[in-house]
Amino acid sequence: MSDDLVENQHQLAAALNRARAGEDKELGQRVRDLGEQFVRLTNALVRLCKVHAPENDAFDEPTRQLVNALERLDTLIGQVSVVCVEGQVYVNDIRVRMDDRISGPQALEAELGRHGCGGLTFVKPIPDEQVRALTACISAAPAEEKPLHAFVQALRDCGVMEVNPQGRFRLRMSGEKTRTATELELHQTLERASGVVADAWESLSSNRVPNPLPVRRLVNELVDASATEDILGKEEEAIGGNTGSDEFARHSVRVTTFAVLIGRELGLPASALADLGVAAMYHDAGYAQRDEAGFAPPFSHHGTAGARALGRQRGFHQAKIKRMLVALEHHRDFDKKPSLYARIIRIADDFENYTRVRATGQLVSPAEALARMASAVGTAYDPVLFQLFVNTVGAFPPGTLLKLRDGRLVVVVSGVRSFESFARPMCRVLRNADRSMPENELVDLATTDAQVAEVMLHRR
Amino acid sequence: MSTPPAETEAPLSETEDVSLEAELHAEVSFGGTPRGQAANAVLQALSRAARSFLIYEPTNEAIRIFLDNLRKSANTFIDTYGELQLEIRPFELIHNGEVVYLDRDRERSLAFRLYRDGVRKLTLRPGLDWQELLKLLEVMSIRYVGVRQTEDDLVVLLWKAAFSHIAFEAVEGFVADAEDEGGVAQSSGTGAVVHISAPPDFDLPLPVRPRIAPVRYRVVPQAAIDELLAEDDTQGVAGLALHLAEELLAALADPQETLTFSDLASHLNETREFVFSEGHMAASLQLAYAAASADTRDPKSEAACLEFLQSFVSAHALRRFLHSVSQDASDAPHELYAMLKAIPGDHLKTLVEVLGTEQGEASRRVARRLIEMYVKDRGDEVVSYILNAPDHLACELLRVLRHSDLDRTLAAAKGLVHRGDHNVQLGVLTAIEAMPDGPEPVRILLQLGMSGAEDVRPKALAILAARRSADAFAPLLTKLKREASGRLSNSEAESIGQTLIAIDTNYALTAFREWCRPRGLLAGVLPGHARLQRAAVAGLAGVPGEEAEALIRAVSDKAGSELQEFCTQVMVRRRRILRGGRT
Repeated sequence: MSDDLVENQHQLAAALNRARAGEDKELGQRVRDLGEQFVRLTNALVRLCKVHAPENDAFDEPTRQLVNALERLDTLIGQVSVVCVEGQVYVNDIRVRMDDRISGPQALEAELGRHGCGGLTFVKPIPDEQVRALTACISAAPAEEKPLHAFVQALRDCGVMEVNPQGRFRLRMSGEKTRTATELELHQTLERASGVVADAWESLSSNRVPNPLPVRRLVNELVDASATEDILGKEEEAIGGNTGSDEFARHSVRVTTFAVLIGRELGLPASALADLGVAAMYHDAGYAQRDEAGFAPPFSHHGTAGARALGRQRGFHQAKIKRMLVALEHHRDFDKKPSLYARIIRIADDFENYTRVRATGQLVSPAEALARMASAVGTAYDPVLFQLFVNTVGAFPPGTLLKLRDGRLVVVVSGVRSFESFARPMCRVLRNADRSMPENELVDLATTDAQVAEVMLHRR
Repeated sequence: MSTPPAETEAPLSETEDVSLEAELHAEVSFGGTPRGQAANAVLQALSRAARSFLIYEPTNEAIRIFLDNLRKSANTFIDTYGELQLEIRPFELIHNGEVVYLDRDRERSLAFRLYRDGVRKLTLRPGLDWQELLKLLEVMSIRYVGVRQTEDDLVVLLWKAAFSHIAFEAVEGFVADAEDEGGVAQSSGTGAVVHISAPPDFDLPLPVRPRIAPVRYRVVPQAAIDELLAEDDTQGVAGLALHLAEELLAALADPQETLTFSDLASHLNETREFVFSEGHMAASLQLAYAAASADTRDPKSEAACLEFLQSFVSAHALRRFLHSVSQDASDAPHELYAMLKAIPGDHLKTLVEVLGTEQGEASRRVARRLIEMYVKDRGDEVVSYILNAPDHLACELLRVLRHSDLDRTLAAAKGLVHRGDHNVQLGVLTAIEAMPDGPEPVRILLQLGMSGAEDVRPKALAILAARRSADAFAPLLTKLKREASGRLSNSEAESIGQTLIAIDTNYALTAFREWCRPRGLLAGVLPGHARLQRAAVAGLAGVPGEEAEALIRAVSDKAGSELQEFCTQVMVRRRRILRGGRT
């Protein structure tokens, strides 16, 4: 037996040890147990509805238990999403494993499926009478037309407002469709990001254990997209003008986008880019914390508050360590030796903070923000990382409002495409010289004679 | 909408009593065509190798056999047939329309594990190298062992692996059915009603940057990039974890900070576990020092801090460390010694407890070295532990003493010599062998020379012979005479004869003359006489001179066939010895 096999054996054992160190046995098991209870009790109550009225005493005990299970799930994981798909049930991404002799998942899937429903989202735990109403609605005959709409309406009519029925699901296969192939999907990913971040924040603020998995999957999509697409430009096009989305969530997504771009320019492998992206998503987690009076921590302490919140996730994982370091150090100057990811996110975060369109408008233009930040290279910012960032976003970073010499007002929608186009990005025309507003007209400053006359600021 | 599933299977039992042979025959061989059979061999090898960490200790040789089988079978298949494309069904794997793997046992089945985790197609392509196959095995092993990770599910693990010659088609998540009524279903990312926002002044005040500097495109030298990439090396995780812990502990000194030591306890414990299990002892020590100097303002935090420090030298932590040492490790790093000295607690007791349960030779060796440092100041306690310990632990502790304290080794040996366990007796023999001669060691050797264990007696006699211990002569002679007619075996008689000659040739010859040429009519036929003669002949084998030869011949002339044959052998051997040849 060769020595290299001994070495391989050690490698595998070490990898398993690391994996074991990163697991959270308790959380997974508790969610699984409670998920199983949910399925079993819901099925039992639906069956009871077929022989008794919901007010019948026979409902009392299983209803009480179901209310209790939902409350405990809420405490553990926050908003509870139950999804039935191909004979399996998932509770917030965690597959519920049930005894083969009990057709629990299939029965629940069949009952919900009659209404065209594939899952239920509990925004918050529901009381006894709403559990009875919910199970009665599931048990009732489905509408012949648009059964899912009718099911939703029936729930609302019964006063069940915190349960959102979902449509049917099917499993999506890799290779089925390239996720990043279309602008539409990237657009959807970016839009969805705000919701995912908002959910993560809600969970953190409720002192729940962080669950980075949904954020990680989202970031994986961004990382994949960044390999083939100008996500900076797409990001600007997708949500640049969307002032309706939560400012904080948008901040997180933009910082993530910038950080992933710096990481990619640096040459980090995809898995490291994903870790970096998740760290960027959570970098301001401290602000989700609340003291006894309900106040968020001040700027000076949001780093430690963030690290503390992220540290609630059990299990040792290098990605978690990096996230916590980022939360702690992302405002620390380069000369104080913060970690690599914190240095990357420091650049992304400061740039976003300078250029964000606030209620009062934009403080400085992206171009000016870069120039001001450039004055602190070597003290506040890592010179190499900053140059990589500059090489990515260009002299006029995406989102920069430009007035052209021909009188047109344009917004930059591309990052750097080549050395030559460093100061000549692709732009979308917002307003023509005659003040008319074209629809989706692009102008490439690298291939036209259009000249930049002035850098403008966004105003609300 | 995309909310991929994560794995949450319960961990399988940590150990199963499954023999290697049973394991090899448990799965059904499938595949009718030669190609199918070759595919079956790969899949069985993959399945067994992935399960092996569940069944065997990580260092067990069986695992290497499985790894070797996997490597060979995969190479054979790809070299012979090229691509191995598999369709995954719940209990079967299909290749080229042929069932090439079938196992309906959910706990064991490779097909079921893959299917359950959402993998629907798996392809091994030509060019696949061993490192890539190992990575696949790693992913599969993690799933088999049943680790539930909040950080990575199977899809993320596969994504991270970034295979070049292994392709997957896997379930990546849920999507709303295309025939959905639309407008009703909501993603989990948008369903929440209550949203928490940051304060309106978040991240303010902004850094003041009154000056501006030119922004230009510049090519970044590769060396500068490489330097940064090196910072993200996986090997540096321990350093990052330590850095984080130090930062958090330092933050406790801030009077405005609401963070307490208690808040950090679980994270610090995870870090300690990691650095210990990875064998980063310098980082462990640094972590302990950082914790020891942390500002613990309230009694609860102070207690948590003490508990944390003690956890560095708990039985659990020490086991983790010992399991991480390399096979050829001879000692623990100095950092561990430093921690044992600095952190309060009865670490000798803990180490003895740990030593009692360790199986690996290397880990026991290192544990013994650690216990050695307590011998000087707490030697009597060590002796007490030895005398009260079960046999295997007593042996280990005796090894500790014999390296550091001969007086106490003797005391412990005296207490152990009466134990019936032959390993204990061999341990005592080894301990005594290293001691200078004296009445006590001789007494112990004599006791062992009369031990009930057949492998102990000759060794004890050999030591006495080598030492020429005069005090042993008379007791041995008495034993020989007394037991010659009884339980003494031929080989023992020979050993005693050789020992007697070695201790005192003249006295021994006196006795031997009497036995070889007995006087009196009945002397030669008394019970046991033949065995005494055998002892004498064995002793005379190495004695030069004609007398010795004449004595042997005298025995031979009147002996029965067995003793006669022995005499002949001895004569031959003796001549060789005396000629300076080999025995």
